[in-house]
Amino acid sequence: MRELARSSRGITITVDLQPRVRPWIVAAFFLLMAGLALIDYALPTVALRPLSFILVIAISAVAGYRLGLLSAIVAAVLFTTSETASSFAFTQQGFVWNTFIIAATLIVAVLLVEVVRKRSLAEKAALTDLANAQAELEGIKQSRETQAALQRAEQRYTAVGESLPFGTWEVGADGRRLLHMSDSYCELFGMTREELERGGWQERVPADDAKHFLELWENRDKSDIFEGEYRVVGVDGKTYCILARGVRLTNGEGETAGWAGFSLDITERKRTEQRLALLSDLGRVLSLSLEPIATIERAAQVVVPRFADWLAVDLVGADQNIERGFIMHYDDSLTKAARDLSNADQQALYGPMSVSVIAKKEAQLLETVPRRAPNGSAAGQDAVIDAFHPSSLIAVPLVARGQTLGALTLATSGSTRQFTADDVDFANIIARRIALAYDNALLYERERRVADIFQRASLPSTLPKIPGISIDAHYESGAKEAEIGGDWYDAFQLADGRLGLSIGDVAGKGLQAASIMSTVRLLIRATALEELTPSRVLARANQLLLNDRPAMVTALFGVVDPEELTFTCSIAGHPPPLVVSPEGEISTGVPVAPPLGIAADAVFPEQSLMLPLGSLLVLYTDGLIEAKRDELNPEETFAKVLQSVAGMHEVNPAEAIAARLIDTPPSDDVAILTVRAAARPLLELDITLPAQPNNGRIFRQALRRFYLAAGLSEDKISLLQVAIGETITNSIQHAYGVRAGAVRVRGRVESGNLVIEISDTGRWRAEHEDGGGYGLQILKGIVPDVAISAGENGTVVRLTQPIGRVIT
Amino acid sequence: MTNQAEFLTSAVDGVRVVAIHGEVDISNVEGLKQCLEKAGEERGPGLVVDLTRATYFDSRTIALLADFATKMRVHRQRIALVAPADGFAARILQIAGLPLIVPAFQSAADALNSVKQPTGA
Repeated sequence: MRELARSSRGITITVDLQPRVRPWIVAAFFLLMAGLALIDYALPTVALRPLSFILVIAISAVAGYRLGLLSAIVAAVLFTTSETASSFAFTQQGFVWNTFIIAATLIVAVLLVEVVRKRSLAEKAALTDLANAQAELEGIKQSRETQAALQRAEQRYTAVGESLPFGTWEVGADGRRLLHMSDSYCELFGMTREELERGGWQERVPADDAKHFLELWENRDKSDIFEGEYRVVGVDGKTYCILARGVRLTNGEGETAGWAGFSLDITERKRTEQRLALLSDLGRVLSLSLEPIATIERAAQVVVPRFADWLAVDLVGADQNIERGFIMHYDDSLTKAARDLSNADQQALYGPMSVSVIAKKEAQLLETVPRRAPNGSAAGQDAVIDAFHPSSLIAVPLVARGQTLGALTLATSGSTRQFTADDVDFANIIARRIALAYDNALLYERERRVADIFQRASLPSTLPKIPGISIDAHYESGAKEAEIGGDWYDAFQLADGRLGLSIGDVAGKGLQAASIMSTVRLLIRATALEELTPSRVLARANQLLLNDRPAMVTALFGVVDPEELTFTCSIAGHPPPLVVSPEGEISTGVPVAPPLGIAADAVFPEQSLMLPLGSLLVLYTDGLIEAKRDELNPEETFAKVLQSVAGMHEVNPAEAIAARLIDTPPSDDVAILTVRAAARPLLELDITLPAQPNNGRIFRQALRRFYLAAGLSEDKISLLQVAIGETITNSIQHAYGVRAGAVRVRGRVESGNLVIEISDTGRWRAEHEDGGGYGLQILKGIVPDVAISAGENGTVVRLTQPIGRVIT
Repeated sequence: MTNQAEFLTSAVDGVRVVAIHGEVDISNVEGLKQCLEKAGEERGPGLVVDLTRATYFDSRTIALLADFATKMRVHRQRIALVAPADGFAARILQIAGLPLIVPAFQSAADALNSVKQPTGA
């Protein structure tokens, strides 16, 4: 209609109100004038003259007003000037007659002209009317054509609209009145156009979408094209995504007359977009995790609620049992509640589907799930199970490298979504990705665990026990998701009673580094047991490493002399040792030589540090200082920690240092080895060692320092060593027979006497000693005060020796 | 493997001399026994065991020396110990009463002389 109105404005009707001078009339006039002139000359009868006037005037009237007047005047002049007339005019009668004729002619002419003029005006009016009528007729005709065209266009428009989900729309200039809305759209909403107009629209559009769309709509005037998206929950219960696109309609003045456009169903497109985005997020998230359970957790956070309202993952355990492992609902409180459920109740959430899926390795879809009757479990649990009730379920196997690792169960629940066969394919894609990432994480974890076990097994299982000094170590593998490194520490007693210490770091990560570490540690230990100097130990390890396997290793090897209280070491590219004195002063060695495994002719100079009583020797790998590298002044932090730990005597210093410097799992692995020299001279002794022949000497060394601290002279010491040695040897050799056991030696100073007790849990067999009877004789010859108490629980030999007494 | 003790064997005028350096205990007394037996295989007048530099030995060494002296006597060989009077060895030998079985001397020269003396002198 508007088009019609608009087009009618384009039609113009023009009416010519001036009669036109027609050429044929002019020609007829001059022919007549010529005819009259001939008649006048040929027939000099006066009677014809008025007739000629009348004729002239009549013609002029037809010809037009001005011409008629002119022709009458001309005729009169011709008449008066003609020869006949002039001859006639000189008669009185002739004059009067002529005058009358002229006057009459003029009057008649004027009257005629007037009549003709009026007639012509009426005619013109009639013509105008006719023109108008014609124009109107034309207009009506045109309008009819336009309307027909419009009708056809509208039919087309409607047809197109109805064939295209969800049709076309038109809105009035106010943006509120719905002038048109396709039936398919109304059917989708289950409402009439009027109901939609009255706000029914918002009942089926999610609040967020409606809000966002209406905001866009309010700002529609900024452009000639409007575009907005929203979702609709159709009467069929499905969710549709609609793109509304329209153009501005204007009237002739360019003002907005309304908007018209279509509502396009972009549900599929949107779903594809969302799925691609989901898969992309899934890929990103899965690539971040190397821990199996974290992998599943992260994947679940992407899939719920974007694809499913809740999901569950069941895993095939080591014994082929199916472990109901993991459940996640979009509602966190329900997730928690479900995880608190018993196994049986958890199973009730989604039934045995996952089991059959794992068995068949094939996805299953349940488009409707029968509601489960309460099974009489606690009320709260029934409520949880009820809240989880799925409206549809998909269970897909988790398959990676041909192995079924478990099943992924996806559910729609408490939302308008419903899984269809189409969703099964997508669920399979998700499951494949999760399964692959999970499998990789399992493999990674396995390798890491093997390397970690290997590394820990490569570290010494026990540290030597040396009276007067305490040895502690701490090892921490790198951050959970990083690979383990090749750090090691080692402490062992050398044959001469001194203590060998080694620490180092193999460049690289993983099993290879761990295996090289194990080799190098044993290489150093084996070399050290040949009693080479630290410098030669490292030089030999360097050469063996260069011959055997290409690896760069930083290492430190040194020897603690428990009697001299010194630490002599060589360093190969490793952080130098630190000694913290009881006063808190820190002295350090200097790193001078390159790491092992670089230069065959490298030399490793030795350096010595004093270990005063109460001091703490700290050896470490660089993972320790890296842990605090981000701090403003890492060296100061490190020094403060060492000082505070050195002042604490009841703790394991290696662990205390680690606890204070490493907050989170370190990125690199860390090894710390500490040796603390006792704060006081050794006035009490308590050592327990395995009953092995080699340990006799270690006992003697500890005892020697105890005797020295107690103030005994060298002479006395050497004899006393034999006396105690006899007893210890007896315990070592006979107390246990074939059984393994331990010998404990305790010493103390008690009212001027040295009291030494040697105990074991075996039986005293003095009569069977190997010394050919000399043993007891020597013992009693040196220490007269020997008390032997033998019982079922073992034997205790107590030797009491006055410190001041001279042994003969 | 260990340098806890060293047993140095030499020969002076056909007499074998085994010098013990360091500590002898249950862990290495077997080594000393083997060393003595090897030295005793030489059919000579006898054997000198120098204990001057022994810093530790116990009843097992003493028993070994006593046994060995007995065995040598069967072969008409002699054994003599070197243990300076103020040293560790002399005091232990004395406490054990070994000089009654095996003669101990102040110096290696005395011991050698005693071994080289004809039997029964």
